[in-house]
Amino acid sequence: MTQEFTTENQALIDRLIQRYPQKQAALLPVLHIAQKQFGVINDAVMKLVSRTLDIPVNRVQDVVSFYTMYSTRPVGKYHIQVCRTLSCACRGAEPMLEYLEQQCGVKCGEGVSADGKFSIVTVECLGSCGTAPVMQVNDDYYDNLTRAKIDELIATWKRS
Amino acid sequence: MPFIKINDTEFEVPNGQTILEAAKSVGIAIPFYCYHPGLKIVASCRMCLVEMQGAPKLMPACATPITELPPGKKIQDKYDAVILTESEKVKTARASVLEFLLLNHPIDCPICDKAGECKLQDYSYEHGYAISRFIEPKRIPQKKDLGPTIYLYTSRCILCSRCVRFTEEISQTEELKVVHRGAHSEIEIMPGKPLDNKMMGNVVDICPVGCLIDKHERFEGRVWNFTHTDSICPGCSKGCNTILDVMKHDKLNLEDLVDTVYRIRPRENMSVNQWWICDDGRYYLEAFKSKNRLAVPHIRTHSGLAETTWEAALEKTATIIRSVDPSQVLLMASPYASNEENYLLVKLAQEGNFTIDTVKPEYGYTQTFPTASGKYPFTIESEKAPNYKGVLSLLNINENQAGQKLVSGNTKVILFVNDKNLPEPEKIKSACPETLIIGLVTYESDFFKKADILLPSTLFTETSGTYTNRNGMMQKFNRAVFPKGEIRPGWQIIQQIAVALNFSWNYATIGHVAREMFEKVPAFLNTDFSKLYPQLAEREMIL
Amino acid sequence: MEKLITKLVGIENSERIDVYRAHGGYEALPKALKMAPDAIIQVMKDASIRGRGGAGFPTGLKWSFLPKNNPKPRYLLCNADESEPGTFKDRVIIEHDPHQLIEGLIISSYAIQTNTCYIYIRGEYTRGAKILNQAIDEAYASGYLGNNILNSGYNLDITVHRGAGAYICGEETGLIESLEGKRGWPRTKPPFPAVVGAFSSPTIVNNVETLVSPVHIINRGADWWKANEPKLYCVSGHVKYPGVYERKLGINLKELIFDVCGGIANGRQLKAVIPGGSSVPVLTPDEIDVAMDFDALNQIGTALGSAGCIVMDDTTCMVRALWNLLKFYAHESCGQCTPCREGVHWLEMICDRIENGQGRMEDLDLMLEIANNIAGRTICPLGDAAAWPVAGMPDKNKGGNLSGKSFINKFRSEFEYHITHKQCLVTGHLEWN
Repeated sequence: MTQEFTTENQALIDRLIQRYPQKQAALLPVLHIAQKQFGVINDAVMKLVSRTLDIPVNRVQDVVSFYTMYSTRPVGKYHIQVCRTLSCACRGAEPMLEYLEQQCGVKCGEGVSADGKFSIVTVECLGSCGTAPVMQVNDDYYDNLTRAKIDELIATWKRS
Repeated sequence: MPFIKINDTEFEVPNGQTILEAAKSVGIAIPFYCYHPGLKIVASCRMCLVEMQGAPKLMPACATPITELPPGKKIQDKYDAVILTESEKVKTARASVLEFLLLNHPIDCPICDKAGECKLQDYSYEHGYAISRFIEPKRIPQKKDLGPTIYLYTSRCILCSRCVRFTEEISQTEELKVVHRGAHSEIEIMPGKPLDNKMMGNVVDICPVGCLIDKHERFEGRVWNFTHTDSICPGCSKGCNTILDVMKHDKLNLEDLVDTVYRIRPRENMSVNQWWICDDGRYYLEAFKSKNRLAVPHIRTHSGLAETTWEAALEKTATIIRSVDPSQVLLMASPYASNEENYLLVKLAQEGNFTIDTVKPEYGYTQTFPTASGKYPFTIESEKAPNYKGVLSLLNINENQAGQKLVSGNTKVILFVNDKNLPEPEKIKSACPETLIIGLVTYESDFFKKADILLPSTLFTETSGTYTNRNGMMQKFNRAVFPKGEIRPGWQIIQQIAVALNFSWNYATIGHVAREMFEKVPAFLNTDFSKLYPQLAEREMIL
Repeated sequence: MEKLITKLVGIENSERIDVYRAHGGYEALPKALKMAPDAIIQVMKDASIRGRGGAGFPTGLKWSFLPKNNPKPRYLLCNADESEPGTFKDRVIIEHDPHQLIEGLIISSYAIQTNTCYIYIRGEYTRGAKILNQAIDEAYASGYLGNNILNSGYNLDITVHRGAGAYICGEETGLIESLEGKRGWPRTKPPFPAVVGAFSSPTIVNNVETLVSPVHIINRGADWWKANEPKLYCVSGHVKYPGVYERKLGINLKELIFDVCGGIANGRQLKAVIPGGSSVPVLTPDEIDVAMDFDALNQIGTALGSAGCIVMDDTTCMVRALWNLLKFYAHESCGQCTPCREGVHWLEMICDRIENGQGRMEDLDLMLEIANNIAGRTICPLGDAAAWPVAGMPDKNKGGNLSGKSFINKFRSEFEYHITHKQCLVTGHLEWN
């Protein structure tokens, strides 16, 4: 099945392209839009982006493989990205990660939990070191994380 | 112009020239991997770092331009740059780059085809450490099949990115890209888009290590058993300069491999092909591997073609020619034959009052690679013969006149000097059924079915000569292997036919033929004979 | 101390234009538009402001590198990629006071005579990008962006461009490559971005905090700025009150940790502090009586960098801390040049082995040597950033080699303990509530 952008997204992309002197400059923003719409950037999505921006599909593959925010494999409904860098590590990121793995029922870097709700990865410094430990779930930051806070968040997410 | 000093050598350089090119111009070698004169400069291998007075860090020689300093600011009051390429700092830097490259490099030398011409081996020996300090587990990425002709041994890749830049800038097909990041970076193709373009063989040449391997050549030979001969590609009228690598010895005594052309690769010539050849030329000899080669002369008898001796074949040829009126003998030169061969045919026609004409070239696939710089577009010519310009000059005719005499009806004997792009014998015989056809041939083809005398002749690899390319440039190709069996060089065959017809020819070598050709042929008078035939010595060009 | 940059932080709806204007916002812009662009560059030079992204390059000087007679369009790129571990100051500006940044961008764009500005914001700052876009829409609606700004005849468009998770895209040429839609592989210099930058045109790249400064320099003057220069300091790790603090440039580090941030939490002792983001050499407790400015920190063999101060108490395993940083650099290395691609990964592997009880004594000097073989030999400073925590910054007295004054040598006994005892001396990294 050929993938296409929604009319809304296509209009957004058309406006975006106008803001750059070269079409390829819009590649990173367009890939974000594609990831939002399709949930994952696989071969078909890359071909769509390649068509939309009129660039060879290899260039898209090159860029997708370089940047960590683009997922080429499916992620959970709540994609949990735990910061592992020094400031968060000093404030317990490691035991927190283990706790998350237990509560969500999926190991870090090993795909999606059985209920499809959670996937966990570690990421590098998220730029919120003052409120460590920090995690990003989909688009949102969650910080000053304690066991209690995480229990509450996961309970909410499991209910949704 | 800037005046600089590199080590102990002082000299002037053009403004803006890079340190690497400046050093090269005075014979100072600076090692490098990622730099290539035909590709964009990336300075990523860091092998060419040199010490430059006044610079806070070591500078990459390939990417650092030399410019003039203002008059009060010259170094030691006279130099615009003072560069050291062999100081302790530079040597340590080079050794460390090699150490880094070898961390994950597999110890594949015993089974790697690049051994003997591998820059990692060469530089390690010259600049590197003898002992590895790396005790961590190595990465072992798998080999990749990139497409019809090339493997990528990922574990050997040093990420110089030459191949990526080649597909981006030269072939502009962009099949190869770097994927992932950091130490996990790899060269990759997109699924469904294999490395498949008419220039792809060049990436194997430019790969400094044994990462990109040509499927035709893999496990076929060891480079130190080869000799290297300068040649010209006969695939089209572009006249790319090539090198033929020939296997000379093999301890395993694989007879059919010894004295065979292992590979054809490009030879640098900025006026013709720069650094590249197309795949049609690179794999020119592959097409012959499945065909049979004529090894002895044949004469047609009532029961078909029969093997015979040279004496018998030559005598029969002479008899046939003498049996008809000279005006009924047609000698067919060829744009696939060398100037020397065609010249002898012209001379034979003149002395025997025979008619002479030329076969026309085949036309086929053409493509122009504009290349990113635009300065050196590379065109695969549609005219698939190497010497049309040459044969037309020799015959003093133009393209419209070529081939006219072939089916005039009055011809009783035709001698073809080369077996490529010949009209089917049926066509000739339908015009004139009793026409006898003599051919200097190489590989078996349909031509054999109707020809009357077959004389086994040489390929461009087995003899020497010159071709004139589409731009009028005359270039020499040289014998790389010895013709096997009863095969004789084309020029010798023509001479022997002439002798059989009682003409007193006695050229000792092809060089003698060439010298006379350059003296006698008006169109070739201005050619620099000594450059093409540097040693007119007995031993040089016997074949 | 009077707050300039963080004045609006804590005020409700501070990201809105009406709130910004109510607190004196968009007053510097009309003044700037009445000056000649070159005059603004001169004022920036007079103020002697240095870049806040990490390199500390004088901003006015950078702006003056733009070629005079080049017909190509120019670009101003605002570096909001903020990925240096320990740094989180730009996010405060973006989320709480985006209009301050926008006003600074308009003044800066006008000064360097460009009509196109891109804000390259790291992909993870989704909320920041949203707030910026809303603020930009407000600015357009109020006539501060677009055509004929405030009837001056000057036009400017600002576009927010989101990154996608790569620290190397905070390096200026890596940023430019990423803006052009490619992988963030830094370019060799020369040519410098001011001459050949984004889309082959003259380009200036500056950090967020650097680009809000014109607002205050225009409002207060260069002399006032030099006397009272404000700086954002990020403090994280084991202090009682981590966060972003605006202080006069040059606050004493001891004061910052113990007075401003309340000292070490949970009654513990200070063990180590990295003053300027993970790329600069670490300091021991006896070295913290130093001014947090560019020169004073350089003199003791470290640097102000991005002012991302990471404080570690005595429950921190220094081997594990170094390994944590090396893994960061190995993960973020772009892979283009040999020393960084192979060397940083090697450093991480050795440190991992030491941390896991399989170290050898010779590994320590080996790591120092590897670090010396990376620093100064790479295309961009990421190689240096990985090597400096291991072996210190370049030392003139050692012929340019690294000083040796950082994690391994300052905590050598702890590293040696790891090797001989095959375990951590302390295990604070396992604590979390």
